[in-house]
Amino acid sequence: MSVESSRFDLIQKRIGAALLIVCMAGLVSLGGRLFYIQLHMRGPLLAKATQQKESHSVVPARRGMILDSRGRVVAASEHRPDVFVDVGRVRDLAAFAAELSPRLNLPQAEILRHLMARAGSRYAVILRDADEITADAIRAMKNPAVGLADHPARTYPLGTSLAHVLGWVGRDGRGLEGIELSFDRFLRGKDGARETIRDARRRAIKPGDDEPISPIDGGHVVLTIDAEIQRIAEASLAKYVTQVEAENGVSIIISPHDGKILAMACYPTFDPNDVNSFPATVRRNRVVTDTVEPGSTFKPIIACGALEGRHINTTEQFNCHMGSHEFHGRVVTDVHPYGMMDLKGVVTKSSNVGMGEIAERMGNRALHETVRNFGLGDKTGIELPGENAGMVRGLKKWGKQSTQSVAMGYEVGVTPLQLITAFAAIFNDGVLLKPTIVDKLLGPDGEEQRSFEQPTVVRQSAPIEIARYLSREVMVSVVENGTGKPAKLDRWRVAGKTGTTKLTTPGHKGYVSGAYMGTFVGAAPADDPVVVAMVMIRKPNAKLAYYGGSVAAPAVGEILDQTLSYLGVTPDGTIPTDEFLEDGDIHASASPREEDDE
Amino acid sequence: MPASTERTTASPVSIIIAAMSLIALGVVMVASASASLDRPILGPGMWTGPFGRQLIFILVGIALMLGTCRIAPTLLGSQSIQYWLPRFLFVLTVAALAVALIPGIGDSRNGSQRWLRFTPGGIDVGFQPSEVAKLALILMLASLLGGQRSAPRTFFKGFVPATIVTGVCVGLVGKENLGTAALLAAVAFTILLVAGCRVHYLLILVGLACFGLLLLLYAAPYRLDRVNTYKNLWADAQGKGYQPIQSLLTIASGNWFGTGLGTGLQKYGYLPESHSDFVFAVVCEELGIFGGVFVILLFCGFAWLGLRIMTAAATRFERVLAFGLTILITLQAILNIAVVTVVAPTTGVPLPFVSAGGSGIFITCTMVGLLAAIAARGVSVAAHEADDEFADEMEAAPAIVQSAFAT
Repeated sequence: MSVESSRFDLIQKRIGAALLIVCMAGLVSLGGRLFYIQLHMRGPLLAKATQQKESHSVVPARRGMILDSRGRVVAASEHRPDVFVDVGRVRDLAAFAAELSPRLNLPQAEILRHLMARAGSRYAVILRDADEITADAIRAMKNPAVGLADHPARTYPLGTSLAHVLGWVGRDGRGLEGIELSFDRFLRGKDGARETIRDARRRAIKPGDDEPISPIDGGHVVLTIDAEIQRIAEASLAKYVTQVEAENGVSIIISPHDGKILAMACYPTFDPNDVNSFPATVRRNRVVTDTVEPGSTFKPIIACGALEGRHINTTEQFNCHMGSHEFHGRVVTDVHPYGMMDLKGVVTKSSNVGMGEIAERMGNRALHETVRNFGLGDKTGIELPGENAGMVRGLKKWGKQSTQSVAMGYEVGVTPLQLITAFAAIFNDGVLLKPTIVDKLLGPDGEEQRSFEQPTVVRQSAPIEIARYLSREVMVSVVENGTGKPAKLDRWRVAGKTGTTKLTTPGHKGYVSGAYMGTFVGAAPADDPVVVAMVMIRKPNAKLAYYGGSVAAPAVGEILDQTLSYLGVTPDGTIPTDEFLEDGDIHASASPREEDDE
Repeated sequence: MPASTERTTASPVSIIIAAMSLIALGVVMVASASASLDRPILGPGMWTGPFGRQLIFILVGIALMLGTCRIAPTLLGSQSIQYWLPRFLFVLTVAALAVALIPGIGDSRNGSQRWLRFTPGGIDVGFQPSEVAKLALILMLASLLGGQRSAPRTFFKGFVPATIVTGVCVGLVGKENLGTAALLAAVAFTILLVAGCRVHYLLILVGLACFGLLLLLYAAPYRLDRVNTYKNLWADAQGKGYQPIQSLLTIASGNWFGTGLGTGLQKYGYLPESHSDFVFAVVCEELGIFGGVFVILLFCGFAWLGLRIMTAAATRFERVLAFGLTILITLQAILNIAVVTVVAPTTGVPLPFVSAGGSGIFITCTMVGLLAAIAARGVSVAAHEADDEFADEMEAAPAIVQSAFAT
């Protein structure tokens, strides 16, 4: 090899080596780039990487139950999954529909139509709230094209019974009416959370690094309502409302000594399991939302005020002017003409003229005081949403004619609940109690969290003697000799008062002829009432009957009879209190998890 | 002789071991990166998945490597083979590149027509002519320039044919695959430089290259997009910027020592091409920054061995060939890692040995086989020939070059 040639080779080698060393330096500097990324760029990049992979999902808490006072479940949560189809994965829609048909208990053609309409959809719900058997049948198919989307559903085992008290829950799991709404936060509990790491198509790979937060299940609400008494109240109400072809009606049963509502019913009713099939007017709980003019049922309340203010006494005779008398330019009439009667007689016969005379003695100020004293015009504070305060106008707005109107139960608007609460006060020695419908709140595991055993006293609305005189003498007389005779019972003495109100129509001035509301409030046993019951029947067919004594009093009689029998009240008035009110199995059945342990 | 020990080549075994290390790491990373919720990595369907295919590819590739290593020494010794084999292969490659561009024959993947597909006996086989072009071009240039000393220094006998050959190759590849074309152009340029072309010829080439690049960008505007998105990556994070951003996120997820082999999460659909072009990012995620540096060092080691093989090559042809092969693999690694670390705009260039892909593995393995063969001949020649002149020249060489040649 020549020298020149060797030099040439040497240069080749040198240049080649130099180029390769430059390449190696390039590689090393890329290593430096890695260090740069690690040291100077990592923070925000890592945060972004984590954020795109982690997904936050909610672990729903179980909604608590609603129980009646004896631990019967009246509202519960079940798992009722939706059945959905990933239509895009189905090759042969017809065959698939045929396979689904028996499992879903739906016609094949209907399923097929549904699937065709949602062709290509990844998530077409074909059945909502599937039951356990259907869900099992779908799981057994082991077909990835069909799936179950679990979500808790609310069920009401009593169906239409107690519907207005319970309310209902929306599809999002929030209470929308009744107890479901007013105790929504308590029932709902607190949802948990879970982090899941997902792939780019949002499929779960593994749980995230953060500790999952367990859900806190909702507590249970124990009502003062007794489902059996509720059934009695509903059955009688339905029977008498339909009998007189009335538009609607309400019935309430309250325990006067502790203010506990034992039953609260509206008719017509609805099924909270299927809320959307019923119009809003039917779903409204008229007991707390609607105001009515109480009519003659107001007379015992006014009488309390008259006696308490010593405007009259019990022996005094009032001129009933043979059924017609003009007060302040307005003629007040009675159904039957009466001459002179004492207070007891006026209330017994429900004489408007006699009551007008008494009211005349009292004057507007005392009347107004009496009305307010019995809690009218104030919300009772019951644990139900949408309560109306009623309508008691200020004293200044009352005119001269108001004196007689108010005494006859007009010109004031009260809710059915306010009216029975005021009566309960008379039957409770004049002590006005806050009515309550919730007995206890239980924790998720059935342990008692809060009890409302002690009644809340609002005020002494009337002195004891006056309250007792009205409840044991005057209102007994109403049932024994007066307008309330249809409420009379064989086994117990009943005290009560009838009322018949002319109805107004919104948008029209004055009263509508032929539109009445018959009311009866009754209590038994009269000497120490265990329950007070009220029935209001609105717009009965006037050709059949409309007086409170004829449309509502028999219903109350029936309710009192059955309720007292059910409660085991003996005809002499003794109540086997211990046996019932401290019933041990309230606890046992209110806590189903404990039962499971046994 | 004392001088022969100084210029001893790297042993053929060492370069094969270096390549095998990278291949072994690659197959493990491909297995990990192909994890998905859709199918298991192992099991009945694995032979159609990236990992199963890669296993077959590397077995064939290793066979090619060892086979070439065994056969090539004899072939390299033959002048006629040195002359005819590169030309034959080059013509075939050019034909294949041209055919792949014909719509309906070439198979498009990722929007570019780069593939030729065959279905012999129902088995789906596809290969990328652009991969073969790498080997063909280097062989061709070595053959054109590595013979007579005078060849590279003459304009019409050496420089012009080499330029035409390169131009044809780069042009055909660049129509669909700019990354590989740029790589080929860079490699050809360095080969011309090393082979001894005159500097002013090369300056003409630089001018031509700039002109060609502009022309290519004009012909396929989507490349311009890639350049643009590199500038404003985050403005279009869900669109053009998605791939580089995900690559950075993947590297950042790893920390110094990685999340652990197989535990990376970016491969679950977030990082596109996680088992092929972007496998290096998965290495960084699962084995950490140090894992990535380790891979880089393996490539440095490979380049170092290639350098030693080159300096000890028996003939000029082999020297130029060894240089071309080494710098191609090294430059490709640089380009790939630069893309993954978002130093360069996204181009579809795989990481040699490591990324999944059949054609790439076959060609790189064949290249390593050739390097090993050159090493083997270099040793045997060095054992016979004393080249004192070289040793003398080394004394006078600058320190950096000296250190580069030191063993």
